[in-house]
Amino acid sequence: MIGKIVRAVLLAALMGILQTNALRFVSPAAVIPDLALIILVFFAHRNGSFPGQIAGFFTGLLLDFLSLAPLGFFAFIYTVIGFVFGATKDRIVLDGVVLPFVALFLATLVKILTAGALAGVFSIETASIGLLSSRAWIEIGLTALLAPLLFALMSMMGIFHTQQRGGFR
Amino acid sequence: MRRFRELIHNHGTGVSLTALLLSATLMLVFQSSPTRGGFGELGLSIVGIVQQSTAWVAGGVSSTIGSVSELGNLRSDYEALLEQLLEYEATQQDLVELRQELDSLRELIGFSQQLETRNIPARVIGKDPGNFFSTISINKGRRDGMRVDLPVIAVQDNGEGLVGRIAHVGSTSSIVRPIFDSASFVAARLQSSRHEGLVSGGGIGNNVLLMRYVPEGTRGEIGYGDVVVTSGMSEIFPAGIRIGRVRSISSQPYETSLELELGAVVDFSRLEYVLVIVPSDGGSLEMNSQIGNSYQ
Repeated sequence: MIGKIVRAVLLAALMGILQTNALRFVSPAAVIPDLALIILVFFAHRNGSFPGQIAGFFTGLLLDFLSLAPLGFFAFIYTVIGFVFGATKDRIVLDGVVLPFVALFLATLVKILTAGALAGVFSIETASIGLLSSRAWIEIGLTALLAPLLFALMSMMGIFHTQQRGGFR
Repeated sequence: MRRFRELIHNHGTGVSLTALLLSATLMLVFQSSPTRGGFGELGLSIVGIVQQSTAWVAGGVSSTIGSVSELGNLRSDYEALLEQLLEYEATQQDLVELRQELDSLRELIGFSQQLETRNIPARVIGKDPGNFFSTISINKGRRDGMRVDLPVIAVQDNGEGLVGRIAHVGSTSSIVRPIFDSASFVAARLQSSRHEGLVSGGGIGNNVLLMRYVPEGTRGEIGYGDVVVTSGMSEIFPAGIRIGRVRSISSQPYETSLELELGAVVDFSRLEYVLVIVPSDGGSLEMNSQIGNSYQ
């Protein structure tokens, strides 16, 4: 399990780093999709809340290092998302196109709302957050649109593969 | 102890969730200092190395994509000479890019040598990983002499402009807080009329600067396009660095000061190289005012 968490954190962190440079070349309106979030939601859904929240915490911490965000800002947000989407394990099957789209639509929404709440509570002036801004909705749309593709890729490659419980239930 | 073990056993997920959220909250609570301390510096140092590598790869990929795109255009125009032109254009494209980069670096080096203050050229290696903050990462860190609050400028179109200041430092990379960040404040003055004010950022996604606290009685002396420079009244930014140009002037009837909307001198969307100004041994930061005035 520890190996899987480390793999998830490293992959999500790599996506986070790519978001700082490679994705900036191709993003519309200077808004980038959150690939790290897609990796986290996929991992949490496959492995459950406990590994999901730990992976979320460390992924968020690495993003904190790369950003002007105060330490703990993304760690908090991604821990919450790892926990919430880990709870969908064995309850919902996130296959196909629609459900990954919906999952990441909701996950990005949770991210923006949690970020807004943290910015309010801790008076984080640098955060430019709001569901009323077009940037927020572009981010939600881009992330949700890319989710089915990345989910399918990770499923095909067997990343974070978990054995389904057998026997009578 | 037994109860504690039972609690962990029965509610492991809940206990760890609480512990993780509490850790994150404590980090946020103790974030009051402008620097992140050793832990933050260590983290930035580690991820900064990977970030520099990916920036190098991304630059290569971007250059390749640009070349392929150019080749595609040529194919439609010159089908008969396709093979020859493909090779020629690919080479030419690389040369053009190299020449542009060379010109840009020559301009940077030329300006760097003109400055009286010591300065360290740096390359922009990344921006914010998300869309909440306005981070700019550069490839110079503590071992290159970077320190928190050092001013950062850029040379564009034969003139210098203020970019921001160093916010966090790692061993090989640093994070810059740009002037358009909503938490950025710069003491400034209008270059022609010499009236002072405070320039703040309009926030991410809104590359507009606002200059406040300019006395209302000075309205007749301010015109559109007037240049705003740093006043040198703060310890961070030396005097005479161009910040922006006046785009609009507004005032409220109940206020005694004007609010000027500025367009930044630096085009942040095409920022590739910056200069970090380092104070001399005496610790003073003074820009050569002639240089500041020569690019009006």
